[in-house]
Amino acid sequence: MSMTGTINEHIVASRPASAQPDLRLIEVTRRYGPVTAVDRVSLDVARGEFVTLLGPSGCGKTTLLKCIAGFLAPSGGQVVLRDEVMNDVLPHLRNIGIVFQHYALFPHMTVTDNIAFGLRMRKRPRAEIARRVAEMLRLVRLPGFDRRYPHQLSGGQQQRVALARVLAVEPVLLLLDEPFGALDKKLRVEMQIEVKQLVTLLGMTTIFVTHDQEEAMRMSDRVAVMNGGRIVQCDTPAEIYDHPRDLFVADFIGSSNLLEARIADGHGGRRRVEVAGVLLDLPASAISARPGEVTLAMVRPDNLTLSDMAPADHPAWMGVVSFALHAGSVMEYEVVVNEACRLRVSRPRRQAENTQVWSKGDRVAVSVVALDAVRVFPADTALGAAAPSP
Amino acid sequence: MPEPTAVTEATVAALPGRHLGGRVGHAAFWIGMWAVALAALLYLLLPTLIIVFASFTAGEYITFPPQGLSLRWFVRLLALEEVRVSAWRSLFVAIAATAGSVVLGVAAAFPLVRSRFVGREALNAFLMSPLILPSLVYGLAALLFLSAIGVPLSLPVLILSHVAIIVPYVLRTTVASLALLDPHLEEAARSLGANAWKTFLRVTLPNLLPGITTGAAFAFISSFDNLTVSLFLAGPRVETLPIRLFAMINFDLDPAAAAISAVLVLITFAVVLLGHWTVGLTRIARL
Amino acid sequence: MPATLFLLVYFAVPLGMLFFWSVRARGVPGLTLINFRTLLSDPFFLQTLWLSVRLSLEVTVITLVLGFPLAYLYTRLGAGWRLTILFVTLLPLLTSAVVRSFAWIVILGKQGLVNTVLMGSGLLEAPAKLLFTVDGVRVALAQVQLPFMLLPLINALEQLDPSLEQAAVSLGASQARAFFKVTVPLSTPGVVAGAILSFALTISAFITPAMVGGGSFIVMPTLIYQSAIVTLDWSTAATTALILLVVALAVVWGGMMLARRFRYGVEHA
Repeated sequence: MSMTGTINEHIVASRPASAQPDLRLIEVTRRYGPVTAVDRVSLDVARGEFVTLLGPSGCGKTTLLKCIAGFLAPSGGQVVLRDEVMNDVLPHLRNIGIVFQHYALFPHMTVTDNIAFGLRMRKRPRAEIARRVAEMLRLVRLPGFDRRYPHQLSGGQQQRVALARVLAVEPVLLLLDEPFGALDKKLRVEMQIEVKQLVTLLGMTTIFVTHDQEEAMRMSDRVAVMNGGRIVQCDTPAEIYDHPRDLFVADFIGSSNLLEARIADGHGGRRRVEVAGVLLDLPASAISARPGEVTLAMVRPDNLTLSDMAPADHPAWMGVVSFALHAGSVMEYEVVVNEACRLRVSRPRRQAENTQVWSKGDRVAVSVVALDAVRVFPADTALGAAAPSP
Repeated sequence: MPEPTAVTEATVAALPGRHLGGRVGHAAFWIGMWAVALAALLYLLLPTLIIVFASFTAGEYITFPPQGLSLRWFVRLLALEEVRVSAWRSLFVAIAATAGSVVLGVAAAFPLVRSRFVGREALNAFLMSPLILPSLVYGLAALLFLSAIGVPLSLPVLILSHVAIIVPYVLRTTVASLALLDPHLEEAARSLGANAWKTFLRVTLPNLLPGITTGAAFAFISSFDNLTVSLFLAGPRVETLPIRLFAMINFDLDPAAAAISAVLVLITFAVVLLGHWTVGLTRIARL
Repeated sequence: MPATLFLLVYFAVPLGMLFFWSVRARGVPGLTLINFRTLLSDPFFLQTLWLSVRLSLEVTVITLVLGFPLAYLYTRLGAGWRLTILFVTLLPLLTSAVVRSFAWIVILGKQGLVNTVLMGSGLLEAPAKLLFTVDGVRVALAQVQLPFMLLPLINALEQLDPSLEQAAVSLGASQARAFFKVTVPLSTPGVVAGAILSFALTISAFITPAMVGGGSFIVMPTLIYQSAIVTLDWSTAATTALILLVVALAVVWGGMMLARRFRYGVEHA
């Protein structure tokens, strides 16, 4: 497994025919004096793929976006778009569409003029422009809005105009810079679905930047988790969730229980690991630490289940429920095993089989649902340095 | 680490047009912008530098470049009695006027920011109006007014008229500072037991100080530099430094005038520096 | 509210006096507009008024053209440059007009900088007359007023969302086109604000035209000064001042109307 995330195998596995990647980032680096904002990032994006750059503020995702767009020149590496090296090309000649965080609609132009802008820059004939604008308005479901001004539109409508404006010129690549930040939750989810459907329909290669991991998981074909200027892991959302490569990814995506672990023994494809006092039998591939290193085990709350007594063949922790919360569709529990070990457990409230509900003070046994989804990391990779390959 | 063989794989030979395209226009645009901008910067800066430089002349009259360098004219300043007198007078007027405007300005700022009453906007505009009204017109108007009510021109009168035109400076910055001040700070102080006066002294005022000082600095300089209004209202025997300077320049090009100018520039320079260290120039410019 | 009271007495009332004096004339009982009629039918007066207006317009345009690139670059450069620009702008702004006009006398005089350079390099035989001319005053005035134009421009351009220009570029506009099609139109309100201020200040500038223009160079403020202090004809002085005020206010009002038309309901970043 490679370190920085160029995962050609995944592309081959999940995408049909089209051979050459649409966008290649080759060791792209961007420095500001002593600070390295983007550190040798390499990434291949296939045509029509939707890749999200996900990470906390300051991880370099916006800087990387600007390098791709051409507003910043990389200090090193290359940006290659459809087999053409873009480093020297001025941003207005790259034919890359960008939707900005606050949409950047031209306030002094009508919706029509906004959408037509790119076409006018390319000197298309009037009739064609008119036709295309109408087409775009239909596409984003805003017919009849042609004469309005941006300040007369709601947030969601502005966003759709921003999309229409960008799609009108049929860009080679679409860049979306945290476009849903300004919308409220419900509208956000609606727009996420709408935008994804739209770009899929058009087969548009898309790079999406966000710090919201739910958004990333929901929309992307692949997610590139970034930290400190590097891509730490780039995989499908399911892979990232189930098999995070290191502690940073495990902690950043979803919630997790991090428990003291000690690799006891094992051979072949399995290891026995003592996790907070309980011996678990895990596949060797789940462990990315060397023997003798201090390690932490990661178990997701939804990967734990409760029972009154320890099940016969499953190792379990015994503890007392310290709180039980009705959080919408799930029950969230905290079970205190001992001072050093408090387990978060999340169970759905309604399910086919009978789901028991526990309350504060109950004695319970906590066991792992899927051992394969437990991961063991070296304890000092919390800062996100890539783990060494086993 | 993936091998950078991708570099050799990528087709580097794209249309040369794309890579060179737009470069000429791009360069031309930025060169044009920079050229005009730098010209503007020089245009702004040079005259001031020139006069300061010229004041170090060793010759008898002002030339550029100066004939030799010396401090003789600065020394001469100290000997010229009219200059000394007018300088002190200007200083006195400026300090008094600034003090007055600070008191009035700060007092006026509170109701403007804190209370709501009908005509608040109008009052604000009214109190700021001296800023846009030509000082020339004001000077004349004040002259007419004073003669109508029979008050003779004198130093106190001059000070009062300065106050009238510099209050807006203090008001503007104080209002801005006050508007940014978190009212919760005062509430917290009151809830902890401080009475109104103590709260003002220990909580409000210290936080307003940068704004007030900036305004006061602007006010001071405006008063010290003021010529137009002073010309109208100073009266025959009350001479401020700018008036003295004006006379010196109009009647003969005395290098001593250049020396005075250099000193004034130095004072301004010091004030701007002070402003930067206390408040920061960017905030001042925004006011 | 002592401030209000003070300003009312000391500021508003004097202005009222102005009005009062302009509508009274020597030898004519009661209120009259005769002063206005006299002045406005005097060709010399009209000539002076026209000179003032024209000069102020020219200076405003010059400062706008010179100032805009500097303000634009200000928004695109780092802290070091910004500080320098602000410093270089604030220093002349706060320096007395007397000092600054004096500097121009030194620059434009027969033995001043310009002439020394031109003669020294052989481009001129005899010193050119730059001082005491309209052109000289124009150049000097433009420099004196430039800071007043620059600050509103900087404020206006700073409030523009930078992603607007980036959006234009990403859609295919070259830097220059994005500048002219997006940045310039959207900065219009700020430009107008600066222009109004600049015009109002320039048309009422007394010191610079007096010093750099010399005794024979008359603009409206000079007229006012002469009537008030030299000939002691306070009626004329007051009337002239009022006419000046009206003209200045007319331009300000016109400018504000213009600015309103270009509002666009712009959202500030």
